[in-house]
Amino acid sequence: MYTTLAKQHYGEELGAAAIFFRSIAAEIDQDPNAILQYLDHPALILLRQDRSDNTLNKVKLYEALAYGDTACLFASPRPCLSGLLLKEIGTEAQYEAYHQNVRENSPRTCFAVTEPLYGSDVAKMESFFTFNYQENIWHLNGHKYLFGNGTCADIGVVWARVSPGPFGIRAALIRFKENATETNIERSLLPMLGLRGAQLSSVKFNNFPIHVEDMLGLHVHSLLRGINALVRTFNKMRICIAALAIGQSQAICDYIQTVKKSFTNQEAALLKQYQVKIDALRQRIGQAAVRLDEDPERVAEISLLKSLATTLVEGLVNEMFSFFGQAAFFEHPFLAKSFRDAFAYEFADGTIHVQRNNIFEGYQSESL
Amino acid sequence: MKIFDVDEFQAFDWLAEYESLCSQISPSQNYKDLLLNQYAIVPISWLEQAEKVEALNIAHFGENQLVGIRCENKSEQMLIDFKFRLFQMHAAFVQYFLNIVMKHLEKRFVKETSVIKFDHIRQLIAEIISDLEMSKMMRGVEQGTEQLNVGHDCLLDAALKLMKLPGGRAFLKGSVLELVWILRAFNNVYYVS
Repeated sequence: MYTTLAKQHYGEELGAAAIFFRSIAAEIDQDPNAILQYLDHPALILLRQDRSDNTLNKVKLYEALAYGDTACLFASPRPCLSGLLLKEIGTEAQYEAYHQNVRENSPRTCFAVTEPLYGSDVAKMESFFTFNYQENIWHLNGHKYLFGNGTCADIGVVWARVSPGPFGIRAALIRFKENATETNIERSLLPMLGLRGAQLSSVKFNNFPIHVEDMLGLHVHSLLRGINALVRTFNKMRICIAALAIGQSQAICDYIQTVKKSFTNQEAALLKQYQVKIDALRQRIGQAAVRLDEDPERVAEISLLKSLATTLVEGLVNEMFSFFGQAAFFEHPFLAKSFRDAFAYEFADGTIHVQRNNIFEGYQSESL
Repeated sequence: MKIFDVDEFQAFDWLAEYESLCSQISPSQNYKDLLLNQYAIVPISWLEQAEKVEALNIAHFGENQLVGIRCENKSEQMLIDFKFRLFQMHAAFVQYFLNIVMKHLEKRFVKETSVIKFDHIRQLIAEIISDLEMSKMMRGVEQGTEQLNVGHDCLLDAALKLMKLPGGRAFLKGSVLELVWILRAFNNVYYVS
């Protein structure tokens, strides 16, 4: 049974969290907001309290939870990328207040970078922060798109520019719950098939108010608080995305191993090959996580691991049905859902083309 | 951090290595010659032979006699070591060819743009680097037959992609096609699950 294997792979606490996520996966797939019924479960408390700076711990946590169900992870109240960014460029007071809020009030959070016209090309970002001197307040105008939990988030970070040019990019904490009115924001949920728990959204801001103390990075050098901080934050999350892909791959391999009664030699060899690759990637991701804490700008290695992990899980979900015959798609809902969800890793934190450009440049500069 | 440190790489004289393995099995020159004549397949035949002798020795243990040369259980590990060193040599070959091909592409121009600056070329090279890295990871985990098989498959994938890059030169003797051909042949003999 996968419950025994989950604890074997990830230990008692993380294994139990994975098992819980697997048990509610179908419900969350139907209605991501159902996660709010389970706020007192240890798995969700564990996520809300996640403020570890240690990337290795984070990748272990994410891999275990993806073994359960990645969509449940994305639906859950947690610090998310905003928490990582606050560690990079928030003041201590901002960082503490944010984590206290997440821990005690269980808000859903978001991190909005992407825009409809230019995607996540930060250099072309059009959303704008403008400062109103009379009211001593910032206003946000623009359209953010394809980011998780935008319709339900109570708090989150939004990126926009304060001036033209590459150094004009800034981030601010947005308090949806306190400041949203009928006129200053328009939020809509985008229809999804895979990873529904992520609740990808489209949000239009119209003079949305931001208090001065919620602008981030005022105390750090202008070169460090914009694109540079975003890259470092994405880097830390990118390795977690690789861990998510490995967690889901492990879950699929275990499912096949435990549910299928007998294997042909060819099937056994294929499954073994995937397991060998999972083990190797897991080990390398762990090593890279340690190195990333020492040098947060190790872009090429992280891109390499993310592209390998996403390629692995996509290969596996394409082959897994062959183990169970023609009716597999209908007889094994776990596999059918895994198929829908697995392709999300490709799009989270940059597609494989972006990662491959980083790999190429890393190889040329001998940083890889 | 380089993928495979070519400076550290020492050429693996697999024939000499193989002869040494044969000597450990039998001091008889005839037997060594026989094994060497079938060089590509022999380690596996040798392993089977060794296991047979070992089994017979065990069967006759009570009679206090040895049927053949005593072979210890390390025979399996010796074969893995042999395959591992061969794998390392092949990895260094692919890395070496990749570097040569990249230098070649830097000097080729299409409408004043170096070929290596084209996005699809960079993407393909990144795929090759990823395959090489995946094969490298197989050295990091427990070193067993399955890891070597998967690692060598990754090398073969890398070589097949590499063949697309240098154009018609790939088909010249000593170029990438020959690399693929060698890797394919050895993959079939030593690295099949």
